[in-house]
Amino acid sequence: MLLAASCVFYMFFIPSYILILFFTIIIDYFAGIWIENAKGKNRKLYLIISIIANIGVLAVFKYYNFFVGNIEGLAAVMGWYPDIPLLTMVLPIGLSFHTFQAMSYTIEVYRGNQKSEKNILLYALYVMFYPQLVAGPIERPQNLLHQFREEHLFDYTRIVAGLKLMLWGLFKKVVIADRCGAYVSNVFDNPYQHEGQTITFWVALFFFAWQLYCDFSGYSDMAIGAAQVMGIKLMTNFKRPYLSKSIGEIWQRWHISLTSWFMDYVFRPLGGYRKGRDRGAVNLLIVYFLSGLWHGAAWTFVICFFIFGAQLVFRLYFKKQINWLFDLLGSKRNKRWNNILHTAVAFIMICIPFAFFRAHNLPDALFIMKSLFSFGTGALSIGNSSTFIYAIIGIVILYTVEIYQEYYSKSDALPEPKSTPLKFVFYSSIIIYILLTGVFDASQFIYFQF
Amino acid sequence: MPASLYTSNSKPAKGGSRLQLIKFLKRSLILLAMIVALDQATGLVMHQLYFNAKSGKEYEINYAFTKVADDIIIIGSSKARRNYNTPLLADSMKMSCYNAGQDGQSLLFSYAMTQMILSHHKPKLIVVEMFPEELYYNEVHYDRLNVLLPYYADYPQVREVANWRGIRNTDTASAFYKLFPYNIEKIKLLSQAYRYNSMWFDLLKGIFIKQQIESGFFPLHNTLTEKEKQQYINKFEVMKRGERNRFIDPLKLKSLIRIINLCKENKLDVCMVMSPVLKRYNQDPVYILVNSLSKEMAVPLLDFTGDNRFNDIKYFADNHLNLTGATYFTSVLSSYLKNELSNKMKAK
Repeated sequence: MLLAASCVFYMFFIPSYILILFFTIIIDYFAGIWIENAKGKNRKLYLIISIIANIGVLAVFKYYNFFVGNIEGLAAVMGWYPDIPLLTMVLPIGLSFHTFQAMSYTIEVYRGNQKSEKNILLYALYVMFYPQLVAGPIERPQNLLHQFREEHLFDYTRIVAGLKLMLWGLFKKVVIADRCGAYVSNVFDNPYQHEGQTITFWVALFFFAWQLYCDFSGYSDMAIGAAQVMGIKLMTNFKRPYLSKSIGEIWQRWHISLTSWFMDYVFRPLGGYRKGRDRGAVNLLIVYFLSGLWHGAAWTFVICFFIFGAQLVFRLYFKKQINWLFDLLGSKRNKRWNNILHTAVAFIMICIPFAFFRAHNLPDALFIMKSLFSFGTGALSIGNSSTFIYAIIGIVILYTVEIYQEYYSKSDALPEPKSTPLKFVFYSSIIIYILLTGVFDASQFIYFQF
Repeated sequence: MPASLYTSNSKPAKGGSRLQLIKFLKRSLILLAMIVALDQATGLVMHQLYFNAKSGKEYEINYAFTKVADDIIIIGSSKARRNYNTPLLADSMKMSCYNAGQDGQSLLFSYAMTQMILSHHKPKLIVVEMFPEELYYNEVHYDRLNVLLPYYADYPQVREVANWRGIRNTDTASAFYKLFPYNIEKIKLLSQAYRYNSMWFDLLKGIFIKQQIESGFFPLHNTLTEKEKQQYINKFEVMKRGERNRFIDPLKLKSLIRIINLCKENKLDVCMVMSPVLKRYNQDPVYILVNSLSKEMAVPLLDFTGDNRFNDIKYFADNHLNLTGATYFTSVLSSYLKNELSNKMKAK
């Protein structure tokens, strides 16, 4: 039944694209069995076939036009103007997510950490489980597959916790992300109209960081919550990344399922830090380059993530100097100031490359970067004042909740009252606030496009 | 320590599971009842705030929808609001005049506005500001129809347009829609609070700030530079190229035709006006369509988009006219309107 529901869910978008999913499911299903039964070099051969099939689907649907564009651009530099046909298809929704999830299955079978799944329907459900089909979390077979075989009894605590998580995810999406998004679009869709307004660009950049986080983590919360209601426990995908005290920590708390995927299947096989600092730095840059490419077939994403990688490499080499700078700013004065300082610096550092993530193209991104550091004296452009106020209120609520979770409750629970009647008032008030202030237009989740 | 949102290690016994289900259903019902009660209460408070507001966008819309009683009414988007100097037009035409243009709106809203105005007042002339670009499909124009929702319960005139928010992108020919012909907007409108979505801050402001409705004309005061003009034109071109699925919105076209028909049914004069723009439209399909519609329906179309008298950046604030431009344009327009009206009178 879950599989049928997942098929219907996927077919809501473009029905025929389900055939692409079936193609990779069939290949990976048989590859898993063959890898398990084969010996010697054949095991690797079947793994490679599976990986080529998955990457091939990604290459055709996601990267073909990007490659063609770059080839044509290069050719034009050399005075040659080939007319290579482009694919006019819309990118299948969530392609990068379920492709990576499928690959983790065959890799884990190859590594001997997971037995191959003999029931094709269960394997199909592993790839297509609808809460996380289109935007993750990217699960591992060891965590997910066995749960489909287990009996899930009605558990009040589990179901209520799942529903609360879904509500908080919805709040983050419609009250914060989409509200911030309105301001961000106003600035970054027309960057040239805000020339000289440095402060406007910074505010828009911060708003975009909150938009992206609340959009994606909001979806993850809804997916994890929905799965939890059904008795399936998905992995945590975000852990309050903007309260991190270093950029390295942010990446341990942001899109955890993808970061750990790259760590397990790319970084560590490349040698990680085991072969010294220089090799570790190169490995980091490779991972972040691939991560950028995973996000989108555009140079803006690649550059954005390459900068993230470069920031980490910089930190790897200059940790002492960075700490000395923090000391200079008085980070040792007291613990609270130390926390605020480190958190603020990490947040600002992570925001800067987001200019590339959000810009429509490279010239726009460069213009935004220039504007951020031009120290223009133009006034802050508020745009629609009520939109701005709603966004600010949403961000204040977000930080209140996350600071409570991080420093006071030391858990992921919402700061709810203890008495049951007050809990009813609390949760119905959240729903009414969502109805009053949420954005209910046709906006999509940003990460669906990946 | 409170239970984590992400984890739950409890494993109920099979018998306990039934009891838990009953507890869950009971509490769900209590929560649902509380949500409904709170929603109704919020709706009542917001209704009071909305219809007693003394300033702001909501107040202006409410005024135009339920109170306006002028002879000439300008309807349209920000082009109407910024470009038509209504006090000057009133003086020149010797008739009272109100500018009901609303920033960011489109013909969809103008259609609802026309229905609301005609339900309580019959003006002598309705001027429809026609920004050709507006006729193309644009998601945002449907989002912005949320301003109609406070009227949904009490004013059936707005329901048709408000319901379009819910079916804008629906493939009504699909098998799924035929099986479940739902309109998501109607479901959302079960909530009273939702009808005032995104309004509470403006409504609270409206309590403290009083605003006198005068003419509805809100001029812009800055003047465009040559560089900015080029940026606007470039941005427009980029936007046009970027919109792959650019198409004329059948609902907007329907709205325009309905506005004209409503005016004709009520025996009012109506004319379409294209106020000056930075860039001419003459080859654009939508421009050609509006021209042919004007001939087909025998409605005058006064086109100033290619008028060389306005081919000067000193008249523009951005893509809208500034006060100087609006004043000049209105003086030109009023002489056209006088001619138009006197010709009609003669014909009658």
